[in-house]
Amino acid sequence: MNSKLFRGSLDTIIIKLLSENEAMYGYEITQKVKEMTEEQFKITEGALYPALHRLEAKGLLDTETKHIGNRYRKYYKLTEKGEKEVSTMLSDMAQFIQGLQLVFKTQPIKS
Amino acid sequence: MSDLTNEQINYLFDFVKSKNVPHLDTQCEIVDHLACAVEDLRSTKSHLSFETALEMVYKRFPITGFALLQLEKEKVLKRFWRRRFWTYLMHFVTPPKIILSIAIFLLFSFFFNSVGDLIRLDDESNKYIAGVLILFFYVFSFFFFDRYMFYEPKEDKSDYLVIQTYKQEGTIINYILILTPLFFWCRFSHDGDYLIRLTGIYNYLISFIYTCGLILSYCHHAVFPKMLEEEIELKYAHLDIELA
Repeated sequence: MNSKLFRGSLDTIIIKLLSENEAMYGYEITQKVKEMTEEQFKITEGALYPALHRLEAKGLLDTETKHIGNRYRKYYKLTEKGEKEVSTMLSDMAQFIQGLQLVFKTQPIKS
Repeated sequence: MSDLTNEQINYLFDFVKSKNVPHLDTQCEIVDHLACAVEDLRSTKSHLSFETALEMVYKRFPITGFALLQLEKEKVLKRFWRRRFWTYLMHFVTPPKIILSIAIFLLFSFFFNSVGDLIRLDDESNKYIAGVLILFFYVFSFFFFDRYMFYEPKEDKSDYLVIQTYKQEGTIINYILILTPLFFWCRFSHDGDYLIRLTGIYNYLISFIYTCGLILSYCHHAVFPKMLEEEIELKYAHLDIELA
């Protein structure tokens, strides 16, 4: 899939994942998205980290570094502000998807 | 998934450094990502050597390598420091600190009013008095400067983006502090005694500038360095940063 198509949704994807998991590290996020979308979405490193840093700058994410084996790992988690933002971002995304479905006359995906 | 050896982790650090990532805090984040990706790749393709796997993983990054990642991280940290400095400074215009700010302002106002009447430019020697006063202010400011503004990593130590961005944002305050005494010089650098008198609106303006300068100087010396120390202790303790 063309990665440009979902680039604008990357922030929401990250926020959604972190709302379901207490804390995640960068590589874990890329793998989780790949797994959930059956490898349709592949987040590149070049897109992921700037997005994570951007969200951190907005005060939506906080970080914690832990010692794992012989290296350090940085975990990202939602801040209070981030948790409050989740529902707004998800409803905005739902509206956007609905709009796309209307434009392209596609059927909503049944869960 | 097989864990990488210490030698391989060190190799990754050297690799990241060679790709123009000079800051240890940024290096740590990239190294962990590369290590995870290399381990993952080799767990499914065990025939791959460590070096080949690393090469394949690095190709997933954009053509600019780690540059974009660094740039975003730098932006985040600069914004972080700006926000922290600004939030603290804003306390001086909200109760109860605003009383202190007004008191300082009135003191300066009173001082400049008195000085304005005492020192007159028709006497050449007063220009030297003004010069000495300004020099004294600079010497005084130098001792009250943020002690981490001149922080340089030791030769065998790494640089840190968190400190670099702190210094960059603090530099703006440095400039304001350096410029403040020049307003005092303006009073004495004009020909004619009453061209600019420290009375009325000019007095209030110069008092306001000096009040801001004094508050900034205090924050720069006593508050902001503590912010840096706290931040390093809270989030960068693992890096064992020597600030002194």
